[in-house]
Amino acid sequence: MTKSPSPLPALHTNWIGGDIQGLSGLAQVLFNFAESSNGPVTDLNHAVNRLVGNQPSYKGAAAGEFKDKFSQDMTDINWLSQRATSIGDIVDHLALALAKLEAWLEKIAERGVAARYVAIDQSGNMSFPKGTSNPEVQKFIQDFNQRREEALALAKKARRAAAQQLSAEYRALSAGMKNYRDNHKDLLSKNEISALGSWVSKLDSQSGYFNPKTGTKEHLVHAAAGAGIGATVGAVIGGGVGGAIGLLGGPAAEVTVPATAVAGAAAGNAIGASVGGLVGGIVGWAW
Amino acid sequence: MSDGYEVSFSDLAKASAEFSRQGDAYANLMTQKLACPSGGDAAFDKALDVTLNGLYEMHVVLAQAVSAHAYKLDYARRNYQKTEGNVFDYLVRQTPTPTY
Repeated sequence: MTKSPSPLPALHTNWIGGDIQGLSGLAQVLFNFAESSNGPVTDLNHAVNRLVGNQPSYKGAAAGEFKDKFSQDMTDINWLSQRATSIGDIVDHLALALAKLEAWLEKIAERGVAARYVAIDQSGNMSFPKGTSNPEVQKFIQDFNQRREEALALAKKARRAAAQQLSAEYRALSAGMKNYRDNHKDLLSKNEISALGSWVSKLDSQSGYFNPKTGTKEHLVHAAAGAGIGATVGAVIGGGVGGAIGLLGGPAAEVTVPATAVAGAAAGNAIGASVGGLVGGIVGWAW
Repeated sequence: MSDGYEVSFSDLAKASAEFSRQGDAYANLMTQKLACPSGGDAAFDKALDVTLNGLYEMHVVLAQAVSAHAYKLDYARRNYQKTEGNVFDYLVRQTPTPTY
């Protein structure tokens, strides 16, 4: 049975950023690929075993070596299926984490809508029917901005954790490509060997952007992206009332939050009471 | 032609056809690099893009390896007289790299 991505809460806004549904859809595509790879593996196993299995058609000193070499296809296809599933899990966990943070913000905003402090259009833009001079409206805006700041900080942590997990997957894939390029040239066309060399060099070079060893460059990319999101959200929601939103600050900014931690209070407990409480509160309230 | 020769020839043909079929089937499971939805920041998006490129390229490699084994099995079938009774030795040591 094909694995499915995590069910997501219904979302009506996009304050957290990112294509949450698209990420979930990608996870499904990756799970489907892994599942579909079982067919070729099963049939190839039968083909090899017909020649050297329980009732071998052939005997010979090299029969074992033949089985090892030709069965490598199935072993490696299974390995790639595991990579696809792992990548799918990483993407799925990020989608779920972002969705829960988005849903949490929507719940908070709904309080303001119920009290008629704020109206939200279909694009998630806020307006203030009573104006912004009312102290209760101002308190709502301040509270919402603070929660949004916390949510954005957690989203940033979840994205960074996911990028680092993807980095590990890429390193495994890169090692696999190099293994075929260097040790299995007899199975690849000259064009593929050449293309593989180019791809590995290019991708290894690009992977430096999210490799922890090049943290400075990664940090710059993160900061630039965060600033873009903060500016957009601040312009839409803050409207000059909340003031500038410090995306990179917030109470959880200095604590490492694995992507999976946002999905549950149990994981949150493991990373410290303050963040665990925040994450647990978010999840408990949104669900 | 002996019975044994007929069986050997047939088994190689069947195995080659199966590897060829499955090489194509596996290649068709992912015919291009998967689309990369945005996670909401540039660093994650780059990580995902590079990883999906690596996944696709590794998949191309494995599909080609399966097809190469189909070629080797068929090459052994076509040159069966040269195997001198040890087709496996011929398959793992003497069949050439496929030419595409």
